[in-house]
Order: sequence, then C-alpha cells, then structure tokens
Amino acid sequence: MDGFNRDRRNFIKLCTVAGITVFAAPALWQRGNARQSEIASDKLNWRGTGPAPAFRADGVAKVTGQKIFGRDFRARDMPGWKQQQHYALVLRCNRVGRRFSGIDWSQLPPDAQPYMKVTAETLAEKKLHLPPFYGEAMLLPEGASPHYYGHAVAMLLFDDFDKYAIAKQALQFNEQVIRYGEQTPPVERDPYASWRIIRVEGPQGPGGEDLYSPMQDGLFFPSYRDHKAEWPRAANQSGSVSERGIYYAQQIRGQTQRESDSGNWHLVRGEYRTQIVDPMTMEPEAANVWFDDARKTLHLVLTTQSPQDFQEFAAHMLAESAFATAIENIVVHSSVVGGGFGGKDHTIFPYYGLVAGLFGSAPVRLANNRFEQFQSGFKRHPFHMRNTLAVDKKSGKFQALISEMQVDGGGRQNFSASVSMVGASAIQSIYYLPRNDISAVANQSMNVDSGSMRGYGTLQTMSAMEMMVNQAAQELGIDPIELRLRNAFQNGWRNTQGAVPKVGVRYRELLERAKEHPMWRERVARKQAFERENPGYLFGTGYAIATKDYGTGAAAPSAAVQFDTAGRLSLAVEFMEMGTGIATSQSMLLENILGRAADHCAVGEVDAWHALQQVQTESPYTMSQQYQDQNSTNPLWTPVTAMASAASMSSYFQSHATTQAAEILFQQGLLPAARRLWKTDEVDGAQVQWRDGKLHYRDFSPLALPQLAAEAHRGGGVTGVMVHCFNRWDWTEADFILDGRKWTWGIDGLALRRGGSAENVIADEYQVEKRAAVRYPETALNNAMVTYYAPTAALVEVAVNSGTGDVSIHGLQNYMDCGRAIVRPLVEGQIEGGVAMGIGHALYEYLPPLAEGAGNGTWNLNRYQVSLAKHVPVWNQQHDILPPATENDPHKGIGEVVMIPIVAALVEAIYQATGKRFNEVPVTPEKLRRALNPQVL
Amino acid sequence: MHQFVFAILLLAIGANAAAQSEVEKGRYLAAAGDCVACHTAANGRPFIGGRPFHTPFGTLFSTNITPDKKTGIGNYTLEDFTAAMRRGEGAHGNLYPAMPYTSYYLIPDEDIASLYTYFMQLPAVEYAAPGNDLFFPANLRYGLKLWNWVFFDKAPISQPEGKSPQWLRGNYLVNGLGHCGECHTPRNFAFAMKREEKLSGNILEGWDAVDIRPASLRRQGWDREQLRLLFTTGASERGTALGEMFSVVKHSLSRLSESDINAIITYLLDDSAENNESVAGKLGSPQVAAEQHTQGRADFVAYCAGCHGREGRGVTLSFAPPMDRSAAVRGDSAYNMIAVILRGLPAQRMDRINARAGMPAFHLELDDARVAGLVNFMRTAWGDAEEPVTREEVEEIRRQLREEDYLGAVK
Amino acid sequence: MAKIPVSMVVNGEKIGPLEVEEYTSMLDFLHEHLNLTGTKLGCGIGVCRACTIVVERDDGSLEPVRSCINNVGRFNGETVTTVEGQAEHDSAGEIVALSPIQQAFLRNFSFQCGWCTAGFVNAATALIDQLKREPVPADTIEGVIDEALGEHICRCTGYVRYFRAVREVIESTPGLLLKEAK
Repeated sequence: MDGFNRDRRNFIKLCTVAGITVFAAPALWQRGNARQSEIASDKLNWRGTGPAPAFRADGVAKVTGQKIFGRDFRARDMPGWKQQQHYALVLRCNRVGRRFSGIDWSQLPPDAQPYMKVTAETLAEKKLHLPPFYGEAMLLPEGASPHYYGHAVAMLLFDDFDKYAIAKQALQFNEQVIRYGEQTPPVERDPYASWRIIRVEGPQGPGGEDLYSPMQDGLFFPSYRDHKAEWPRAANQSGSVSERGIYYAQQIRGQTQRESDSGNWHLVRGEYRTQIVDPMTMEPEAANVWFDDARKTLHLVLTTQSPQDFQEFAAHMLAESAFATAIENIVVHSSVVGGGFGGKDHTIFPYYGLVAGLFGSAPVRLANNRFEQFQSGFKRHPFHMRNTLAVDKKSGKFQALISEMQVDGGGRQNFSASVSMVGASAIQSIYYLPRNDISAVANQSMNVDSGSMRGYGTLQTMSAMEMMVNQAAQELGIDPIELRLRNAFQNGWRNTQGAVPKVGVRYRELLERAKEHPMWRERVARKQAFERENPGYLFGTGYAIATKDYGTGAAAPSAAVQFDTAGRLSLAVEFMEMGTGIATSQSMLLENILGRAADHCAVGEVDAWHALQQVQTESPYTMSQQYQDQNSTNPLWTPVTAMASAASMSSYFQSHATTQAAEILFQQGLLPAARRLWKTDEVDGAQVQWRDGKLHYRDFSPLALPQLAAEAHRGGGVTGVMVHCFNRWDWTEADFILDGRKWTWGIDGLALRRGGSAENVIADEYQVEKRAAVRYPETALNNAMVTYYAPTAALVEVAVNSGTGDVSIHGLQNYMDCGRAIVRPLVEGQIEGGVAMGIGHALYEYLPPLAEGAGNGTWNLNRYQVSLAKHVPVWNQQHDILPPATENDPHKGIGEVVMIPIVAALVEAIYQATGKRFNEVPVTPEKLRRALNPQVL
Repeated sequence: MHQFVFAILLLAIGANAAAQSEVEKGRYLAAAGDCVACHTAANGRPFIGGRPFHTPFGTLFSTNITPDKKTGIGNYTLEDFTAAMRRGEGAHGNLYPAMPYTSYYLIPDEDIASLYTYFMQLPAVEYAAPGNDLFFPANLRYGLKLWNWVFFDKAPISQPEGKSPQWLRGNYLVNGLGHCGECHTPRNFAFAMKREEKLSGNILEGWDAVDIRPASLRRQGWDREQLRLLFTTGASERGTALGEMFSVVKHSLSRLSESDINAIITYLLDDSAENNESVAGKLGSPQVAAEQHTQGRADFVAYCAGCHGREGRGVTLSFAPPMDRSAAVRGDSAYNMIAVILRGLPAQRMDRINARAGMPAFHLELDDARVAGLVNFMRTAWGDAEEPVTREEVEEIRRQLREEDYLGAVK
Repeated sequence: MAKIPVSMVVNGEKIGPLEVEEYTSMLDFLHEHLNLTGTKLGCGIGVCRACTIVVERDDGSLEPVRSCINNVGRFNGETVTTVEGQAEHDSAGEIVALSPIQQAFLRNFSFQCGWCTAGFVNAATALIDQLKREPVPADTIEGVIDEALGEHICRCTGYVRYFRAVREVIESTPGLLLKEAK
C-alpha cells in the first residue's frame, strides 16, 4: 500500500488549523487527463487549430465516461487507500412535531446488519459537533423533536455493498423504523438575519450625495420578539443611523401615499411569491472517506463546490472532538462537480460523509440517491414580498419602491443571511429609484434548509420587479420597453444602497435592440394571426430585463501561470469546474498575453497557493478600517485567502487573477528574455505584439514562445507567476519592488518561479515576493453590498392552450451583455441552460412546504418537473450578444442572470395571451387551466 | 368538495344566491358525471367536444355542449336537455349510446335542472366536432330508435330494503350520474350493457375495466381506505388507475365531496351488508411460486423488482405500487397484468404534487411464454389464482392489443 | 440474500460468470462489480435517462435501456455497451478515435457538467442505428430527435446543443434520411 506523504508531489501541505494539518491532493481526474493528453492525436486536442477552441478542455473525459466526478471514485481507485469499500446510509425523519423516541432496529433484515450505528449519543461521546455555520444537532438526539423535515437521526455503516443495498431498501421508506413519541410544539427560532435598505436621493440628483443611504449612513438592525423582526420605531432626522433611517422610511411612505392620493403617482401594489425549488444538480451528493488511523490521516473525496471552506471547518470540527489526537492530517481530494448551480456550495452533506468515515473500519462511501438528495439537499430560498412601486403618471419615472420581504431559510441557517441581503439589494433591477425602503427578513422554518442556489435572491426579487414594471406599463398605457428606457439606470448614478456601480451599464442599448425586433414591433399582428390560425390557443409576447449583481464583496481568486523550457504553458486556477468550461475559458485568456492558450489547466487547485504564505485573520465583512490598515502592514496578510466557486463569478473574478498572472509573467519573464535575444536594452511594451504565434517588435526578428521560454529558463529568469487578488467591489492594488524597480499590479500576493522543472504548478518551486505597499478597498464598501452587474433581457412569445393551460414557447430572443465573451459557444451554452432553468422556475418546478414537501423523503423526478426538451425552444432560440464596448471590457459572469428575465417575460407573455396576471411562480398548466376554465370544477 | 359545501351554504342566503347555487350544484354534478372527459378533445377546450370514440361500428365524435346556438346546445330547452340526457334524443335525432343516457336516465329532475342551468351559463364556444365515421347500418340514426327499443332497459334504480342512505346515494352515483357501468359492465353484440352482468368487468381500449362488484373488490383486498386513496389520488397500495380510469379520477372522482366518495365506497363494497371482512380469499406463497415458476421469478427479479421492490414489496407508492398487495395480482382476471407488461404505462400527472413515471413496455423483449410465467409467478406468490395463465392466453391478448394499435406507443 | 451467476459482454469484453446478489441493479453492477462508473445515477427511478446504456438485440439492432430500474438479470447473456465503450481504444486501452456522436457533442459544446452525457451518447447512438435500419423523411428529423431524446434530462445546457449535434450527425451520415425525389 502506498503511504501518505511518501510522494511529496501528491500531498501538499496547505495550512495548519487548530493543530491539524490540512493537505490537498491534486484534482483526481487530472491524473487521467494528463495521461490522455500525451497520447492525444490532433482530433483529441481540445484547443484545435482555429482561433476558438475545438471543444471543451474536459470534453473527452466527459464524453467517454472517464472517472472525473467525486461520485465516481471507489476505494480501489484511490492510490494508497485500503481497498475494501464500506457503505453508509443515513436515517432521516419524515415528520416533525413529535419526539423522536428511538429506532426499531428489528426492521433491519438479518442478512443486512450494519457493523456500526452512529447516533447523537455516539457523536456526543466523541464530542463531534457541526461547524457553527450549520447550527446544531447533526443527528437528532433521542427525546428531542425534529427541528425540520428530513432531520437526520442515525447513520449506519455496512461492510459490503449487498448488505447496504438490502438495508437501504428495507429502511428508506419504512414508517416503522424511526419511532415517535408525544406531540411537541413546533421548533421556532429567531430569524437568521434582517436587512433594511433605505435611501433618499439628495438635492444633487442621482449621482450626488444622498440624504440617506446605507452606503453613506451605515446599516441598522431590528430586535426580535416572538421570533419576529421588530424594526426600531424612533424617528429623528438628525439622530442615530436607525433614527434617521426610520425618519426617511416614514418620509418615503408618507409621500407615496400623499402623491397617490392626489393623483400624481400611480401605484403598482402586490404580493409576490416564489416557490421552493431544488437545484436538481444531476449528480447527487456523495462522499468517500477513509480514516487511515495508522497514519493518523483522514482522506476525503467530495462532490462539493467549496472544498476550501470545508477543509477549514472540518479541521476545527475534528480539533474540538475526541479525534483531535487521533488525526493529524486531513487530505481533501477535489474532483469535477456534476452540476453546481450553487447547490453544492457549503452544503452540510460532506460533514455526514466525514463522520461516517471516522467510524468506518475501511473507506466509507456515503452517496445520496435522488430521494435522499431531495430530502436533504438545500433549496432555493422562497421569497414572499409585499411590494409597492410608485410611478409618476406624467413622466413615467419611478418615484419610490417599498418592499417587505419574508424569506424562508428553512431548518438550518446556511447562506440565508446573505441571500436575503442580496435579494433585497437586487430588486432595483436595471432601474434608478430616487427613494426606496426595502426590508428583508430571513426566517427559520421547518422546511428543508435553503442555501446559495443559483439566483441567490436576485431571481426572486428582480422577477417581481419586472412583473411590476410590466403591469405599470399596461396600466399607464406606456410601451413596456419605453417605460424601461425612461427609468434605466445610468453610469455614475447611485443604486438603492447608495453605491455607484463599478462596471459600466449598457441597459439602453439592450432595450433599444429589443424594441426593433419584429417579435416586439409586430406583436399585435402576430397575436391576431396566430390565434386566427390556431383556434383554442392564446398568443402573447412578453419582455423582461434583468441585471445580475454578482460577487460577494470579498472575492479572493488566485492563479498561477508558468512555462517550461519548450514554451508549454501550465495554468492553475482556484475555481472548480462545475460544467461552465472554466478550464477552457481560462486557458484561452492566455492567448492574447502569452501568445497561446494554456496547454494544461488545473482547476479547483487548492494546494499550490500556500507558496504565497498568506494569512487571514478576521471576517472581511466586519473588520474595521483601522484593523485593515494595521494588518495591511504585514506584507503576507490578506482579508481572505480563498473563496468558494460560483459559476457566474468565475469569469469576472478568476479572469482577473489569471490575466494579472499572465501579464506579470509576460513583463517579468518573457520581455527580459526577448530583450536578451533581440540584444536591446529597452523594449517599449506598447509596441510589442503577438502575431501568428510569434512576438513582434519593430524590425526585430519575431520570436516564438518556445525560444523565449528556453531563454528565460536558461538565464534563470522568471518562468512562473502566482498571484492572489482581493476584491471588495474594487480590486486591491499593491506595489512590488523587483530588481530595484517599483511595479504596481491589481493583486495583493505574489510568488515567482525561477527556473523550475515541474510540469504542473507546485508550491515548492515558487518563492514569495513580499509587497512593498498595498491599497485595499475601504471597509466602508461593505455597506455597498453589491455593485457589479451583467445585464440580460428576454423577449418571448408563448401560445397557451386555453383548455389544458399548457404553455408552449413559440419564439425566444435573448439579449446579453457579458462584456468580452471568452469562448462564445460556452457563453451560448450557459444562456441556453439558464433559459431552461428559468422556464422551469417560471412554469413547472415546485415543492410544497412542510409535510408534503421534499423533507418527507418521497420526492423524485417523477413528481418534481424540471424543463424537458419539449418545454424549451430547442430549435428556435436566438441570442444577441452585445459586442464589447471597448477592448478593456471585463469578462462578466452570466450563469445566473439569464434565467431571470425569462421568468418575468413568460409571466407577461402569459398575461398578454390570456389576460390573467400572476404574481406567484410557478404559473403551472394546472393553475392556468383553472384560471382559464373557472367554470369547470 | 369545498365547492359543494359552499353551494349548500349559499342556499341559505337568498334568491340571487340560490340562482348561483344552482349553477354551483350543476357544476358539481357535471364533475360527478364526468361530462368533461368525453366532451373534451385531447388538448382541447372543455365541453366543446371533438373527442373521438372508436367503436366496433366506426368512429364517433363527442359533441359541443357549450350553449353556442350554432354548434352547441344553445337552443336546447330544459325539455330538450332532459330528453338528450335521459333518452338519448338529440335535436337532430337519436344520440349514439356512447352518450351514457343508458345510465343517465336515473338522474332525477332536480339534478337534470341544475345541470341544465350550469351548462346554459357556460361561455358559448363556436366549434363543430368532426362528423362521425360509422359503417352501415350504424350510420343511420333511425336505427337507434330500434336499438333503444330492444336494448335500452329503463329499469328504475334499485332501492333494496335495509340499505343505508349512504349506500343509496352511492348506488345513484355509481349507476346513474357516475355511469361506471358504461365501462365496467360487459356489452353484448350490439354494444349494449348486459344488465344481468352489471359491473362485472369489461375489456375496453385494451384494458380490463375490472369487476367492481363487492365480492370481487373484497377478494382483491380493496377496503375503504385503499379505495379512498385510489379515488382521490389515483394511486393506492392495491394499484393505480390505468387508462381512462386515470382521467375519471383526475376530472371527476378527485373533485367529489368526502361524503360522496364515502357513499360510492359504501355502495361498491356493499358495506352495509354483513360481508365486511377486509380481505377475502387466501394469499399466495412466494416460496411455492418460486418453485413452480423459476423463470417467472427470475424475470420478476430482473425486470420488475427495480421499481416494484424486492419480493414485490414496493419502493414507495409515489414511485410505483407494490405487487405483493396488488389487486390486479389478486384478481380473477390476469388481463391487466398481461396488458401492462406488454404495453407499459404512460406517465400521469394529477397536479404538481401527485405524478408518476410511466412503465416501460416489454412486448418486444418478453415472449408469450415468459409473460405467462411472470404473471403466474406473481399470481401464485401474492394472489390466489386457481388457474395458471397459458401461453395462448397471452398470445391472444397480445394479438388484440397489436390489432388495436396499443403496442409500441409507450417506450 | 440470493446470488445468481451473471455473464455478459460489456464493451466487447466477456464478463463472468460472476456471482451477483440477484436484486442488484444493472447500474450498481456496472459501478460496484465492474468499476465502470461512466454510466450515471440521476434519479434512480427511470425518469431522467442519465443511466441509459445500449443493449444489442438478437437482430443486431441497438436498444437504449435504463440501467437504474433494471436489475442485472435482465442483461444476462446480452451484449451491452456503456459510454466507456463508445470510443475506439487501442490495445493499451487508450482512446484512439471518438464515435461520430461523441465528436458532434464535443464540437457543439453540447454539455457542461457532463453528468447526463453518457445517457445522451448512448441514446443518440441507438437512434443513429435505428435510422440506418429505418430511414425517415428529412422533414421529420426534428420530431424524430425530440421523440428519441425528449425524456433525457439535462440541467446545464438546455438541450439545444445536444439536439443540434445529433441533427448534424444524422444529416451528415448517408442513408439516414429519405429524400423525396423532385
């Protein structure tokens, strides 16, 4: 058996947390991939020969069924692991409101006995507790009442697959297994978080100083009574932040009422609701965990989107447990994620895998089937909003937005605080609002917990805003696109938080384009023609636009780029591959800067970054400016070392890091080599350019990358650059002194490789370069909440069957500003995927709450309907991707945003077709059938 | 149910409300009579007709029963309506007995009146269903008079002594308004219900509309709760609603009040009589079945157990029903077992919460002998069948299904 | 727990006889016994089609079958192809050439996460085989693809690029479409 640590290249020390050293193994699948790339013929080379890549870098592995996903790996696939594979299953409550009074073990068939039963008692004995992020009661103790539907009570370990499979079928839907005692009151707790965003524009207008805004004045919070939020009542124009806030909130409400009463403002008022949605990632969660007690090492293969935080949480969890002395090392093996959509970000699942592994006598595999995934995997937060939009009747300009949001966070907290905050700050959509009072409360409930799923609050709130705008247009008799043009946000203006967005917005351009489309221009005639030719069908056209604010306000991407002596480029990035094609797009980014795409790209890299030697200390969200200033003097300090992967963030944040690393490598590695080869002291960087794979400069003979690389290696120059960046709604800048010269880059950590021979990026070959000075974005920007936007719009035509309520999408035109698209077919694939998911959210996907809901364990895809091909305009979907405004446009993330406008556009198209307005999604065929045929019982 | 309660509440409120309640009552009765199922084409608007019915005499199309004067029943008086409902006498001559006037004649005047009020206030839709496509002599409507004279037995509804009001209500709903017999009663050469074999089962559209007489239901293990589940959700441990019965559950039974569902169940199980043991008949023996039908068992394990569970115990009802408690397995007739195996089942959706996946068809892969063996294994293991199914019986059912084009529709 | 002897040909390789617990699903058999994990579990109840594999019928035609709802016994004695067997391999087991469907999926960027890819590869391959035997009129091609792949669930890419890729292969492979003579 191969031992842990025998090969330094396989296991790289990351950091030490509470006495436990965390290691990371290189992404499992990349071993296989590397093997294949050596034999790959031209046809199997993803880069191809054209300007665009021939296919995805991970394409061959995926289309041939290679082991690449976390769920694929068994003990026998893991070098050095004990070969036997054990299996675990989790027992979960399908009800609440009664005490859990034990387990009837006699329900286990005699030929399917577990060798270990883990209960709350076992956990208590071993002092194992969930990381605080997830709350308490990892397994429900006997005598307690389940906190929510699907609360786990026990975990069983089996030493062979057949026993496990037999036991699972005997127990999974067996009502006799978990016993319940007397009734209990429901479990109730205080809300997870509350937010209030009040802003009143100042006398200098949209871009001037505000009378009040969170950005300028700060945030204030409610108190909780009977588990409900109570906002402060005291109002005072010159009082505390809350007193001033309440004063302005009252002003907004009072003025809205008065102006409406006097007939000046038109109000669109309504309750808007969104449903519980399952991320339905195609790969259900799984973990394979081996506790190698001889070597005091815990190995984990996971399906998570966020291995970095897992490592840290897990180390703390173990350090505080009775296993603290038995485990010295944690090794996390990362892998390709089979569908993320935020649904595998900070899920609780890996901790159950970890516990199973701790009690196993061989590697233990815990793998949800789909029923279990529905029962235990987190959901999209349902929003219930009471909204009022005030529009000036004469000008059609929006005057005020008042919104009260109740958000269901489910039984465990997870990201509810942040989702409700992002949702609240996103409701403004693409519009400028001179006054707003938006509150959001994330509540605890007994539903399955809600998490960071795609949309992240914005889908829910922005769809509602778009529905209101469409309704306002209808009621005021203004063309919906015209109304939007009158209210579109402009560069330099302030958003509802009082912040000025950093990325240029091109809303007008998007709006103008749709206005000219025949689907829009001829919508009345098209409706008449269609309904004439198709009796029984109702035809309608809808438009909506959305702009996705993305980012977390503490983004910390890393990247490393290096070349070998033959000029082959290796890239390592921190983001995971969740299907978006990040390896492909990030590799392509190098082409403009270094003359060719990366030959190899390691995604989800976790091990290399320790070369940067950075440390983080406190939450980047709550630290004071003074604290940040003090710590910044330590050249290795950073607000955040690592970040979770989210598809729509990769292109913007990761691209920044990758581009920075590539540019530094060009300046520090290739240019000096070029100077030597050209025998000239100075090269004007502005006049150097890549053409046909060679570097051209004035009359000097062009140089190919292999020549330059060989020279850099020969001369002991820089051959690899590793960077770490930090973004708090603005990029950090730092100064570095290299060879006596000062350089300023948009990074806060740097390590350089000189010489070196490793094929892939490894920490050992890099030397940290301490920065001379750093300028972090001010901590006050934390109040800004979100300021990055990528807009998208949808124009959709539907035909509604007036008998069945079935909606078919007749035509669909998307509009998108993604800045500079890196790989167009990847962007289009993202758009089409977002459309399908948006259609599901708008028309089909639904989970009821509580007892009938997913937590009861009986849900699967026979009932939960996601979009199938027949629900999607497979053959008639058009995309209009705006060409970048400038060469320096950023690469913007689009994963989530596309699904937003389609929701409101569909709801509006249905209204235009049927005259029925829905403020609640999904607008299912059943609902429509009922609305259109009220005469039928 | 709520609408019904609502309707009754409204009765107390006054004249205007009474008119409203007449409509509400008619609306409820129309659901109980499942008018929408026949008078709506696939993917069509409710009540405008156009649904084809394939009979041995050719194809009939249901008519528009919205109050459109040109194409619907807009010109009908209450008398015209009554004549159509009770006697099959339409404005243009006799209706074909696909219209269940052979059951509806039992509907009392007050219910007819409510239905009339309801239909006459529907939005009128101009739509003419396609013309019927019948063979001679069935294409001649005047023959229907003769048919009615020979076959239309207008026996009054039975009112046996000692039956509870619930049973009597159930009797009316099952035999009158609900016209269950139209499918569940065998028909003679002229397509008329055989009165003497009422509700004893009938092969229709490639399914056995099973024997629903009390003794048969009880022998198959049906009890009040399982029937209630079937009628309200379309699925129970005894089995799921197949073919047209799913539509009946979706559009009619699931809309009925709790008390009417109870009445139907009381009638079907004859609950007021003394034969109220829940399961009659002996249950089978998996062990004997495994010994007698080795290949059948192997095929069950290989083909069926993935969904219907180890030892036929099921996985979870929301996915697929168990076989060890299945009424079809316990029933006298193996027709539906054979038909399901051969033709499979389409996916069914009641609403957002209640839906089931389809079942694959096995007609390509399993030959007659193996289907017989599989059916015999199940019936021996979990039923009480005396006679094994023969290869020839499967062959015959396969032939019928193929002829009627029921094989190959479901993958 | 009873075991049955299982033999079959998987991706051209003769397997067995192996003693396998009789209720083992084909999917679990591939995963746990043969360590072929390219076939994916999506729903486990036969709805999403991610687990689709290909079985060769007696007449040599190919049938897509869901491996999650069928137990291993159904495949005893059969010839089965999983996604791992769709490309051409050399004697060392390395990939030499991809199938036309695999190439088309790559070329069209048909998938993102790749979890549903195996099912699409196998079902589309069976469709091509079916069209070789029974060509269809060219103007029905969209309906034929909808029918063959319409139940497969993809959560990332919205079907457009899968369907387009299959169409490309059908249109570029001689003999799959009937062209009406003008």
